[in-house]
Amino acid sequence: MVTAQRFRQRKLSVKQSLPILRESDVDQSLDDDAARHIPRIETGVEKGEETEHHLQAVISAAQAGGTAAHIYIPTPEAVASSLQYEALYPRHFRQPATYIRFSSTVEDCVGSPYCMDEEDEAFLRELNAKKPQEEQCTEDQFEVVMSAFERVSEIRQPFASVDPNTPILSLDELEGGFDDTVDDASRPFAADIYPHWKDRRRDRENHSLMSSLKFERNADTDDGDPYVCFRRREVRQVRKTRGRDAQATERLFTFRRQYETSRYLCHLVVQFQRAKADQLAQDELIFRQRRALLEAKRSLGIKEGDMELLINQVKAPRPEAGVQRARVAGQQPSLPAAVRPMESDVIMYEDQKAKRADSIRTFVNEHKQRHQVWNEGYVDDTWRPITPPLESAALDDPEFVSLFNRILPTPPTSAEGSDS
Amino acid sequence: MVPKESARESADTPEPVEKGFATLSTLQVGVKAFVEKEGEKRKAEILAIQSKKGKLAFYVHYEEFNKRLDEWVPEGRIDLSKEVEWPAPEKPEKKKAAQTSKASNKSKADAALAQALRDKKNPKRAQQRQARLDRELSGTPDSQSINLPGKVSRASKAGGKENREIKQDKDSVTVISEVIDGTPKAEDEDMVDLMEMADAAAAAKAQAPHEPFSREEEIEKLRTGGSMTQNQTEISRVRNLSHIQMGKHEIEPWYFSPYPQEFSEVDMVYICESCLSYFGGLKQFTRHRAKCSLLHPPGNEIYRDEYVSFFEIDGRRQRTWCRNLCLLSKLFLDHKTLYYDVDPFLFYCMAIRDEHGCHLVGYFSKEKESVEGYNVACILTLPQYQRKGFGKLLIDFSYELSKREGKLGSPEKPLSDLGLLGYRAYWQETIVDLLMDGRTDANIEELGATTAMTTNDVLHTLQNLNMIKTSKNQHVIVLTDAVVAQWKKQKEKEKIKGKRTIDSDKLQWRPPVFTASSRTWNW
Ligand SMILES: [Zn+2]
Repeated sequence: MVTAQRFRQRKLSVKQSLPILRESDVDQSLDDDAARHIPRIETGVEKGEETEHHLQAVISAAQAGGTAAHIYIPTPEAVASSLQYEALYPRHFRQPATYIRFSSTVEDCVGSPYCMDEEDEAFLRELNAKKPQEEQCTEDQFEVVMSAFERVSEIRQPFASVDPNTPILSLDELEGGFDDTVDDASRPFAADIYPHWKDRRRDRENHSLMSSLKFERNADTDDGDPYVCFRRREVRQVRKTRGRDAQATERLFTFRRQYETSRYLCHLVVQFQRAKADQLAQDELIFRQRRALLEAKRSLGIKEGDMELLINQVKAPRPEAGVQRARVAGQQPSLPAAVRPMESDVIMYEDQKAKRADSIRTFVNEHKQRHQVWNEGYVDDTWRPITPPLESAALDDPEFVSLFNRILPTPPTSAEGSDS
Repeated sequence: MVPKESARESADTPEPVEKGFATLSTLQVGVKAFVEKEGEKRKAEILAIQSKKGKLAFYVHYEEFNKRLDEWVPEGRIDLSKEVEWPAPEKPEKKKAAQTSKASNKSKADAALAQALRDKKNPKRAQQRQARLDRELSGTPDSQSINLPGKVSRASKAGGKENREIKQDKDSVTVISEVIDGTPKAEDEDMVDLMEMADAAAAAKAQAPHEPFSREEEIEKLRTGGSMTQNQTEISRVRNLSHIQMGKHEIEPWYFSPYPQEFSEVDMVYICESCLSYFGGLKQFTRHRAKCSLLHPPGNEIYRDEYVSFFEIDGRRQRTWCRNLCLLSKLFLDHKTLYYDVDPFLFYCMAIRDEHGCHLVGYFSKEKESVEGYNVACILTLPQYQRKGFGKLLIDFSYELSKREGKLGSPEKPLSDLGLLGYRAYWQETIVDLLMDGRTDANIEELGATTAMTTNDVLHTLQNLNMIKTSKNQHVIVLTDAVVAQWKKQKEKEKIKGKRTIDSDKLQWRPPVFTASSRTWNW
């Protein structure tokens, strides 16, 4: 295709501005080699069809100067239909002032999906002939019932079209599956229509009565079947990238953290309830002992203070208790200035000493805790660990074991380990 | 896409063809004979044979003519005074599967006979063959399926698998077949008997050729049929609907479309102009029309002028409507494939309006994300609206969208013959218009950027119109007299009739954006 001559020619550049000339401006003797030296661009029509008579006729007519507008590719004809267009398509359309926005689907717009045919029509006529005027079944009602039958069958027997031995559903089964698309006016006709529906289903080997497309069933056999259409596409392979991996990992960590948090909350709730149970048990015990005391008092003939013993006194807040507790915990007294005793204005050596000791203890505790956190979940896989974790039990909640165990890289085996 | 058809290949590879005189009864699928067409004798390939009340009809494809002109011809139009070409024989290594071979009538008969005799001499081997077949059929090592009621007799599995009956009424049967027992003819009778001994298959096939295939049989046939795939393509080579009724028109379909199989038996398929649903009978259609409330394509109107409206429809959200549209358009687009679902496409539908509603005139589909940079996947003006300038409007609109996207676009290939002509006319008009605006030079890339056409398409257009020449060893663009004359004629026509174009100010549209997850989850 591409001849050696092409190299003589300058290559055509698509980026370069080319002068536009009229045919009369160009030297007529000049050969139109140029066109020949540009590689031919494909027409885009399949090779076998490029040579078709009619296409070629139009193409050559166009190249001859386009005066032959009457040459065209003949196509089978479309003719006027004899159907009553006005009756079938009533004049219902009013164009809104603004552009139409619409999202309902075909299914939303066509009512009951079953459309009766001539055979149904004959049946319905016969059925109505037996009924008084006011009990007649309308075409709409008939279709509502038929649609419901078809829908319930489809739901209950999705494989009926593949397995010919699927029994046709009974009227009871069908009615059991009716939903609110079957209005009360149509419902009574179900029993009348059922035998007709059943006959038609049987004739079609229990396949749907509505013409349907052939969808894929089996990848191997469907492949060459031109009737099988609208296959699902395989889900696209998600491209694996570092970013995606990191994202996924991050998300998993978040899930895990949230899960752990809620697990911990549950644990606390359990603890709380247990404490409450303990408290109740204690209260009960106290009550019983008081009763025993009461009995003892009675037997000894002491009368006063009976009621007080049996009822829990609401204690008035006692500030001293706060001081005591604070003292016990070794913390600085935090009393309102008004009630503070005089002595406390004097700085006591004892207090200073306690304070100091206390801050040291806090410091140590804090660091201990921090270490605890660092070591949390650390599993020492070394043979004969150097520092056995000692203090963990004291601080950790023995009942709650965190699942946050991350295996850390094991240090290289020690000389001792490798010897053995 | 569509597997290469043998008829086409023969043009490129001149293999020696077996020629000879045929009689009506020896004509078979695959034979190329001369057929009278509009007073001329044209070479045509027989794609299907139908016998109706003792008369034969042949579905033929004329060589060098588009498939849309394929048709049923009565036996009288076949010229038997001229030699016919027999279909090419199958490669010898396929002999084992004699029944499925594509050999000529005679050699296939021989092979089948030979097999039958071999099996007769060696029943054990025949049994093994049978067992193996059964295993293949059922997919389980120990098949008990043969004796199950409701299961297909072996007959159609083996004997019938090459055959495909597409039309069935009481006194007609169509066979698309290249095997001898496919067309029951007198001289094959003996052969059938012989094969019967070897294989129950053929017998049952011969006994009940009119019985419609059940789905199970179909599946079985497909499962076992080595060459079923090929045969299946044969079916799609034969038009399956004879007429459709749509809106105010009756239209003859051009190509096969996978509408429900039973539609091939009706004379008219009714298509609702609004929702494009299809019905095999008038009563059903009338009932549907009484209920159907759709008045326009079910999407957002993104363009409106005095003449037309455009609606944008998402294949995923309007699956039924878009499937219906694809089925309909497949009747007129040979290369369209309905193999996969409509989810990854957007459909831009052009409609004209009146009090009845919006009438679909044409559409083009467009991938939500085209790797190749196509701005159109399929494009069609419905036949009842063709040759009225709508095609150009559709194409214009597709480029208007590309301009809005800031991309260059080109239609997906292959183009149909009509597609190519439509695009060429549009490209020529668009480019010549620019070149005639008084400029003295032009740069191909810039021409593309202004029109949203790819450089390749610009180049193709210029080249095709003989507008690129060399002058003084430099490339020039020449406005030839022919091109100028045509341009002037066009302008005059526009003066009288007015010019129909897309007014970009009336386009209310921003390129839709799809998230990564919708891409991953099939749109
Ligand atoms: Zn409709």
